[in-house]
Amino acid sequence: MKKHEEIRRRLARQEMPATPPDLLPKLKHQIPEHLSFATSRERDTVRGFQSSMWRIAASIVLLAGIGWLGLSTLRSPAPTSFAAEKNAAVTTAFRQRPAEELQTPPPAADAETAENEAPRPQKTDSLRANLAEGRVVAVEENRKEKRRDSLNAVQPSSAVSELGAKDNDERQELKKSKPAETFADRAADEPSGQVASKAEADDKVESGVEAGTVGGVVGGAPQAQARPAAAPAAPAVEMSRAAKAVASPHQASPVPLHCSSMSYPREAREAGTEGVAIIAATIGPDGKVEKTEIVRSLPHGLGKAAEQAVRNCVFQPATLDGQPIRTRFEVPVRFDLEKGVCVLCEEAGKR
Amino acid sequence: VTQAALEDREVLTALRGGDRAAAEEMIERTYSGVYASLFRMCGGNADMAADLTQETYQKAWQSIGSFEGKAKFSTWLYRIAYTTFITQVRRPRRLVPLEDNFAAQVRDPGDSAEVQLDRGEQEERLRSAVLKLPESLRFTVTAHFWGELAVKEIAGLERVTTVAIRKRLYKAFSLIEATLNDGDA
Repeated sequence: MKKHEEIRRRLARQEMPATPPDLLPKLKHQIPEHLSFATSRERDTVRGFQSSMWRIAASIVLLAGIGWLGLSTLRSPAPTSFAAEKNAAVTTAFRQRPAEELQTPPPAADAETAENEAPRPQKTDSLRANLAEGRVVAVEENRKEKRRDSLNAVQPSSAVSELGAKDNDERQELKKSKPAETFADRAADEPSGQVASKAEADDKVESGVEAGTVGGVVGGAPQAQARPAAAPAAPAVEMSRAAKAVASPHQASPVPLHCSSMSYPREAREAGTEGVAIIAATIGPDGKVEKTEIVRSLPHGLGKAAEQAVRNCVFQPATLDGQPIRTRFEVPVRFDLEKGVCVLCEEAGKR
Repeated sequence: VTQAALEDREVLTALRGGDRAAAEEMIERTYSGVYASLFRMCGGNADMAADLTQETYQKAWQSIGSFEGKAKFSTWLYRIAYTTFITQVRRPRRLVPLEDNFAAQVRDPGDSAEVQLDRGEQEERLRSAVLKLPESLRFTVTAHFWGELAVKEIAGLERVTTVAIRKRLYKAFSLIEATLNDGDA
């Protein structure tokens, strides 16, 4: 115990050292500007509050995102303003498009056609859906128009409706010389007869649906009729251009010379009906229209009016080896509220 | 509640209000005791004690939010000073090569024979024996004798009874005695 007392005494004997004079200023100098006096409990409280706020904010953002997605999903089927503008632009482009370009000549079913037709049904389905919605959609828009223009310039079309196998040989040669795209391919691009049939079945072709009707009619009806005939379909408007392009010494297609003007039917004008009617016309050796048949009609008397418009036209007859012959081909008649009635309207002065 | 404790609370209240003058007053009240305890722990090395004092207050300001006011501010500060000292002792020292003529002017804070002569060999042996104690005993001994904390304050810091502190002191004396006896032998 004595040892313990001695140790205690020695430990307690420590003298008080003198503090360095510069220590106090240094200590005061290192006082921070902003002391953090929050106790650990207060810090825990603040952290809990902050985490709660973050969770609430995240929940709000999540709910807002879900709501936005839901609204956008609900709005997507309805045509938006952008879609309406696009449709209007497409409609305008379609109206400016020569009706005869949409006429589908019957192609020979070769392997190339079969290959090109394979991936196309999706486009047909989408167009069908758009037709069901009453909206105007021109498939592939202007791109295909340009492509068809270029093709038409070099394509002889099927300008030989009754010219026999000799003409078929020439057509085969032309097909070999032209690019991969064929009329059959173009027909596959178009809505084809199925779409036209649907448009007819719906029979909703009023003022707001005219372009959809046009697309369906022009692309589909002639083709649907030409195939059962087991003969080359009528070349329609392509005929004149094809005749110029091919310039065969053995054959010549009928060329429209003159069409007397006619007024837009009042009933259709009041109803705002527009579109393209297809009239199958038989042109005699004298160039007169001998017989007409409505291939594709339009409501409000436009079919009859189209038939009358074709009858009012005079054609240069088709020739074979320099001799005029009787031909049958289909003539598109376009009814446009702004431009009026147009028979083979691409040809100047034929209105 | 003593007068000093009441004054401490007033100063702490002012500190919580962001009063810089209160912080300076708190330093003036406590810094001499902190420096003295560190001076004794360092075996009379004044420079090291001053450096550790500054480090102690830096840590105190950083963690002042954890001070709940249950103990005296000086007691809380001593705990920080002790931890700072132990960290300094355990910190690996970086060896800086010095030229011989300059090295002769640098005093080694731990092993200086000159210091040992000044303070006496016995006292240095006693200090070494204290620092060799187990952690709980070492803190109790240094806090009671070098930090001049009462047994009750140490018990509050260690969250044990005063009896336990007294038992620790008794056991520490026995170990120190054994160490000193081993040194004599």
